[in-house]
Amino acid sequence: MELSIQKYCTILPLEVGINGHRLIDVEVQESLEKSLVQTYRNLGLEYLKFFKMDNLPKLATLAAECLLKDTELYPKTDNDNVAVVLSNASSSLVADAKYQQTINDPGNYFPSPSLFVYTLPNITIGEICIKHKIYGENIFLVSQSFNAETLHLHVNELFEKTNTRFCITGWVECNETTYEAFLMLVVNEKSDNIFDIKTLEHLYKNK
Amino acid sequence: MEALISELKEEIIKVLNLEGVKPEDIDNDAPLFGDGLGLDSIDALELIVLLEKNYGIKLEDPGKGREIFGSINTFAKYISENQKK
Amino acid sequence: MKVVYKIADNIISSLGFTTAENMAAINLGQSGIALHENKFGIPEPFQASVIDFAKLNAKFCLFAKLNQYTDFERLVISSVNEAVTNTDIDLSSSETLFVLSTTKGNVSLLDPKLSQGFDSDRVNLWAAANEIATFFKNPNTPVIVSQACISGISALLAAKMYLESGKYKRVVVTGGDVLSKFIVSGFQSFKALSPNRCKPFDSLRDGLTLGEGAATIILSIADENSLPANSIVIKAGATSNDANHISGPSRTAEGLYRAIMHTLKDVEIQNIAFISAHGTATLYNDEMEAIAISRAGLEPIPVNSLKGYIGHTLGAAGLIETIICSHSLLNAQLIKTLGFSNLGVSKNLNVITKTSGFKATECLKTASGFGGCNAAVLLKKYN
Repeated sequence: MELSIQKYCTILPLEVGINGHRLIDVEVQESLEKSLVQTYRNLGLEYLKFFKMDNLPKLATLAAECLLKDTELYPKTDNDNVAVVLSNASSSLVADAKYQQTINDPGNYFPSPSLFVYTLPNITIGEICIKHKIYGENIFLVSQSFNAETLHLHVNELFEKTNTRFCITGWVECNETTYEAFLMLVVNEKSDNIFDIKTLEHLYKNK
Repeated sequence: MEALISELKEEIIKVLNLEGVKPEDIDNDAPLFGDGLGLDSIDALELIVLLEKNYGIKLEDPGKGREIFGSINTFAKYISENQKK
Repeated sequence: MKVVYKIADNIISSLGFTTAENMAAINLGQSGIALHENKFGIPEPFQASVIDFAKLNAKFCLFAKLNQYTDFERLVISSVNEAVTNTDIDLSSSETLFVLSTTKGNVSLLDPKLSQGFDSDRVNLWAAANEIATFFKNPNTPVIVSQACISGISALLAAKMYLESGKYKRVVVTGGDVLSKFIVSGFQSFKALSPNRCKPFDSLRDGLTLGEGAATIILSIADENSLPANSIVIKAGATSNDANHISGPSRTAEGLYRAIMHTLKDVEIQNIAFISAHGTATLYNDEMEAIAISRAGLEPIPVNSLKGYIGHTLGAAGLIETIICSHSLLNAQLIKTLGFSNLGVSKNLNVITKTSGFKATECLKTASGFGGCNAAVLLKKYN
């Protein structure tokens, strides 16, 4: 088994990058949500469900779209040999805080189902799977910072022990001050970027 | 009723995050669910919240939702008959 | 061949603070679900299975400082602590990993009335996990699985893989969820809660009942020929996504069906004693599970849901229910589905309505959750 990173995508508030090269710039916006929407527009996407999502799944949807485009998995995989292993530090806290607002004031108590549904980080995986018809192994891991060791262990074992042939994996973090996505497509084939801890840490650090 | 219908359309677009949809795009008799605006089960639940929050109407039986939210017209009719705010 | 097996466990729920207490109550057909009024600041009364926190705290302060920890942390720490009592398991070893399963952890700290003087960072799952691992002096960064209602099984399957990799000798899979205004109001906004105790698979089922709980399963790995007597092995498992809708289950049960099929790849169906389904008693979940079970050719196999005893314990559910399944296997006794009277799904499921013995040595546990996720795990009794 020789796992490698076939392709990777990075998204920050002012830019989107593919394999370490800038794909597009995004003009400064007044809010993180507006930055995500502007990124969507600059990428020329057409997916109306995007506008119902909270920031975290918005970010992950953009990252998955950029990652999978021009690969054999695009636009839909319709297979369970594609795994999705995502991680972040803040879980769904941005959505959690928004939902909390709808229940704080007993005089204005209107819990919102469309906000509540996004108060689980794995909904993010659900949105990616729905858009790209992915039925495979999936898990959402939370850690204080990007954890190359755990991601590497988990993904490696998925390839060893399950029918996984492709894995969409990485870090999708959204908090009140910023967001960052670092998403990789891991395959069981030789390529320039070996899927090992050192490469993961290097690519993440230099995104 | 005109004013209510107009207000309802704006509220629905806002609350359900219907990107690119303008009030004039929504036909008063067109189905809101299924093919119409493509609303789903979470949207239906959010409309139940809208009923209570904006119009003071508490829907005791959520099953009636499909009927009430059938179209803008059925929605507006239900509100004008039951409004408490 | 090396297999992953359970060396210790604990359940904390409305039914008790140890696995034994929980199993005793379940064997007597007792439910911990009750009506609660004026709880968590929720305007209407609601049914739920809640833990006696006064009792938990009284036990806790015998071995730790109460106000240094949140309710959630105290619950999980108590569970791990009880699991290792009377064992010689060294939780501080670098060869031991903690895997934490939870949906909302310390989310009640977001409530301005409940922040309890903790640092704002404490609301993070990693902060809670660090408190728990540090309490037991474990040097490794804990792995946190947050995947809605399949978190427990997902964490178990991850732990199995990590043990098989050879990187760790022991994995403490622990998890829990504490009910709060946040969680209860959210499910209420989904109109998902039954006004009565839940009725899994029943024709009159009308929603789920929430529960709070914690559980711990400590896993190790050994050659299958050298397992202690009465070992429970995590034989196989899989997760899958419906790829259909973020909150509604797939009408064709696509994800659960695939998870079950992958799990049962090398299994003879006649070896399966029972299936412990997710069985939350919502209209759509139970129907979806019936379809998955039928598609997989498992209709004749006795099936139950445990939700009528302890409610739906969210991040703890996969772990609590796996432990209950393991004891059901060890005792070779089926556990009946509390709350069930008449079949209300479109497939002819063999819902367990009374305790009876069996000879088979394997069982299947399934779970499904928001986000279209599904998981299945196969347990096997050895020796």
